[in-house]
Amino acid sequence: MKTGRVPILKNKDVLIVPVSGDLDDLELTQFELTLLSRVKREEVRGIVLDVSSVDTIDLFMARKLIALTQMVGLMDVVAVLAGIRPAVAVTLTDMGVRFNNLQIAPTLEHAIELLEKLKG
Amino acid sequence: MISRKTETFTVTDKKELVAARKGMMAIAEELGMGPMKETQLRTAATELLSNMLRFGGGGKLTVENVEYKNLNGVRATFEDQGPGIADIDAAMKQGFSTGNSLGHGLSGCKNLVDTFDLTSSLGKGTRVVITKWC
Repeated sequence: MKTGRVPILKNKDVLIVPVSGDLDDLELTQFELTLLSRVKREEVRGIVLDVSSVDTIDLFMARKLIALTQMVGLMDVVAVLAGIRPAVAVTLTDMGVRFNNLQIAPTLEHAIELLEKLKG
Repeated sequence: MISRKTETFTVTDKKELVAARKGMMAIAEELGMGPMKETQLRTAATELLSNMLRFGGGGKLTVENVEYKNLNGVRATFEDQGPGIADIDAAMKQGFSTGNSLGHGLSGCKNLVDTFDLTSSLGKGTRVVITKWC
């Protein structure tokens, strides 16, 4: 399956996903399917969605990211959203986006530490 | 309000959306809007341009560098000739938690900019004018 424009890296049993901005609806949907199939195939235990290079998160993308963490949650995998930029945080809050029940970390490194801790 | 510079972009696909947004942001950056307000403007524009593609079948973005009293800013007009919005009040109320996966995100958009003016007529299209001051 094509991974499209989102590279997915693997570190031990954690998938690291440097999410890029400027993905259209179709690319985001394709990325979602690719990620889910890799989670299943490679028996990962955690995912880091690294959004530190993303300067625009619109509602569609926010919903996709939230849905994605719920989907992998059903597969007993923890997803951590890492590196939200300050201006993006303000913008998402202005738009009323709620990231309830979501694991958040300031950086990729913190996200990996958090996953280590959660896995015990 | 004085309009000093006007640029128009046709948006019929994602590539043109990105180009239009880039053109708009170049004007905001020229004005020295700053990263916080630029992100708010860029996100609002992304939302409105995406709506234009999803619901309006594409359209046109007009960007102006405007001045009013001691304020400088960007005024952006998003126009499409799509089906229009039947119930504007309902569309404006549709928030992040209540909207479906393709929610219009209009109320969220409104919070990101200083003025937000939406007009729509059924079968003719939708027009949204936003202003973001520096």
